Amino acid sequence: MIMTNNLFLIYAMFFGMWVYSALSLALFITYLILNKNNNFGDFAPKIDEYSTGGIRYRREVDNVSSHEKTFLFSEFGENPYEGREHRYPEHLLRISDKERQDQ
Amino acid sequence: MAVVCSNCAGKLIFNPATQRLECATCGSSFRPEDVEDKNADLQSKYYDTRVYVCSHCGAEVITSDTESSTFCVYCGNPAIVFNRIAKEYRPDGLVPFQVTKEEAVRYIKLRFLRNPIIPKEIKSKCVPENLRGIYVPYWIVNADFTEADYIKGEVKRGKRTETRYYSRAGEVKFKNVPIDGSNILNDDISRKLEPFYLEDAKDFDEDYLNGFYSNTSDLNYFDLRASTAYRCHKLFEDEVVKTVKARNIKIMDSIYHVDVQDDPIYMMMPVWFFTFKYDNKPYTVLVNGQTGKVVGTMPWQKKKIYSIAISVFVLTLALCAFLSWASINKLLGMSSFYAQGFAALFTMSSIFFAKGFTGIRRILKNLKLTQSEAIFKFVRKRQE
Repeated sequence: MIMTNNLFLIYAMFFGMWVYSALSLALFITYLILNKNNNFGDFAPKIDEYSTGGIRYRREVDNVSSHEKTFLFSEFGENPYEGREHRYPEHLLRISDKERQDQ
Repeated sequence: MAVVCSNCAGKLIFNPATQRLECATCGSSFRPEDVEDKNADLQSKYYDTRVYVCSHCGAEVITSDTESSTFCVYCGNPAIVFNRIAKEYRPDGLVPFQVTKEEAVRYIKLRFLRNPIIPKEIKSKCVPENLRGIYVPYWIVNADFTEADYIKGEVKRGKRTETRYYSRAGEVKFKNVPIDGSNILNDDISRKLEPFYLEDAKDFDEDYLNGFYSNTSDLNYFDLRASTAYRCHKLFEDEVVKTVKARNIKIMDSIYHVDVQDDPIYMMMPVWFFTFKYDNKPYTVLVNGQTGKVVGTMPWQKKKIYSIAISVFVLTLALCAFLSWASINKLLGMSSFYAQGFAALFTMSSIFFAKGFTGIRRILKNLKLTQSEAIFKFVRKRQE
């Protein structure tokens, strides 16, 4: 009886492995075929294309302790550009005004 | 409004192939900068347009009166009605169409339509008559940007995998970042349409719009700042993870600030829209009108895909059963060869499963973006 149970288990395990392998391969081949219908990921613009000199790092530390997050966000949490005034095109301001009036 | 031919008073249409305004009646052609529109007031901040509204999806499209609207370019519905003549804010410049309608059709066909799982009815719909050229509004922005990121990653040490944390903070001076100025077009799609090369940009001239639709920016100042912050954050994030030497990198938390500089530039960018209905759902595939880049996900014949998947499943199952049987029965005296074959297949399965599962999920997400409901969503949830 014990022998029969063990054999059944072995067969069931093997069958499970076959099904998993077959399912994985079927999923992968389907993905490869469907991916020919998909064209969203050919190009992702990088930071160099839209910046002068890339990132100027002010902190670049590896393997930090759990307190680091608090330090990091307290140091960089404040908006350094607060209070700067800018000129914006009339079109942007007009839409803002219109939305304010609609409300 | 449309300018007319000085030789025969026929309507002039801009031809991307020649970069000239051409008269369909007498065949004369003119450089846009040489054509004088007597109605246009170049000093004015506004220009005259005709506005059409789709009563199905609510999208507004703007035309010079050279392009008659028969269906909505966003949802493919014929319920489009002339709404009003309007004065729209004059953009600073535009990148003229350089890809013709016929070329756009060819690019879509080359990219997608040779695939046998694409429904035949879509192939038959991909003709120049079903493409519409739209000038999509963009803001070209310069901005100062600061971001701090708290990052998690996994590092192998011998046989153990350790979780480590990293901190990164820095600032960037962004220059000429294109921000999609239309709430209609989903940001994820418009970002994929890039790059647009500003070297080809011209000062705004209504004559370039002849034969095309256009859309005006409906962003306010706060929207623009939020979009810019989000866009810069994405660019920063993509770059910063490259400096972390670990696996399974995840940005746990980040904080960022943006300062949009004075007077962003208002530009029109050329995009071809191929809108069609399949299985009662609208789809829109886009083609960059400057570079010819095709963006979208085509629907497929479900029956064909299911039959392929089931066939692969059954064949692999049979192969596994054979390898196991051959290994147990020591076929041709090569028991270990079959056992190793099965072991290799089983080991690879985890990679196949992970790649297949995440890949199909990504494709389904992209398919949803292509379905026009996503494109013409008016109230877009923007990153705060």
